[in-house]
Amino acid sequence: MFKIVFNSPVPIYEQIANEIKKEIESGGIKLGDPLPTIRGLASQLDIAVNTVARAYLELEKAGLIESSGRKGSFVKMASPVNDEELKKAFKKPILQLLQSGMTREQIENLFKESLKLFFE
Amino acid sequence: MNETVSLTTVLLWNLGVTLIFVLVFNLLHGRQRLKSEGFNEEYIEFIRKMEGRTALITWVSMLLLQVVSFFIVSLFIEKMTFKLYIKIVFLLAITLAVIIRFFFDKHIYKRQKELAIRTGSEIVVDFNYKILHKIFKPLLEIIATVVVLAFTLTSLRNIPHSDDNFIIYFYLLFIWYFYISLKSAKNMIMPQFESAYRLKARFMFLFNAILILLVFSNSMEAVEAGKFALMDYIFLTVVIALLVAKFAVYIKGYKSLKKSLPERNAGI
Repeated sequence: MFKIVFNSPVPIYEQIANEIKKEIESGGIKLGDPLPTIRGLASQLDIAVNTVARAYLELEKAGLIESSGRKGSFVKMASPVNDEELKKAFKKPILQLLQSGMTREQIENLFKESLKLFFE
Repeated sequence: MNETVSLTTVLLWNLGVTLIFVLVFNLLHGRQRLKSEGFNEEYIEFIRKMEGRTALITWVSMLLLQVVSFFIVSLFIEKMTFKLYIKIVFLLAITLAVIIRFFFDKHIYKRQKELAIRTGSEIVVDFNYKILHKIFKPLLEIIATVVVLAFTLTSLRNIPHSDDNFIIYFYLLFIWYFYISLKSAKNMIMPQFESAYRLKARFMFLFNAILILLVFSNSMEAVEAGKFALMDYIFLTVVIALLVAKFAVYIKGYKSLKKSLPERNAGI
């Protein structure tokens, strides 16, 4: 869900781009998720199609979304995460592995093996 | 059901319905209630004026249509029975009410936009209809609708009052109407959005509950009349299971809707 102010000094296309960016950053829309169609969003917001098209263009330029013709637009970049969030995300699976009786060395090896799936 | 209905009875029924309607209208659009929901004075005035006007026009058109159709139907048949009245007049009137509502919604959205621009209010948009789909899962709804229709057309076709099954379709249509009206809603500020979603979600539960009872009661009638075969029992089980699943989705969705709205509200 996002908010728009019609008579704000910030142009509407910029408000839309900012709101979509916020949705991506908060995890509301994830990597690969489809965005509403330009016409659909314009109709939902009761604004001109060109305004939404410009917002999407700005997001595309920023590398946050990609448009693939008739298929529509999709989120391109995963939401940026900080170190603290990453540590939190790792905490639960590490605890589960420790509870299952694995040693630190075994967990480290498992992590290295998993990394290989992406980098080799 | 086969009693004759006179025009006076029709008018008296309408008077009764109007009194209930006025009571419900005041309950939903009362000044104090709207204030407690977070609307400012300008919006309270707007909502009361627009909703009141729509309700009045709908009511007058419905009454006129009922009287006109009453006379037209009376020309072709000897007596207007209660069943016929419900089927022809009432059905036409409700269809008209929905059409008028849609027509007025467009007008209301336009005025809402003007008001939002004038007051500098924040418009909220249900991005990708995620919140709407918490209460209304289109895929499950489509499957349920198709199965319910197939069930009434096949298994309930031979029951003594099978022509009364049209009321089942009617309830199905209401649920879809709520969905479409929420999906096409525009230029709403947060209290409007919240109140529209909660109200329509509650009606969706209600209509689904009535739908389950109707399917069950009609099926029992068929069982008593000895018109139910083994396949019909299997079909009935599937239909009831689907409707109950839909009901469970509504309850689960409504809970998450209640949770998600105040969180988002706080940020505004």
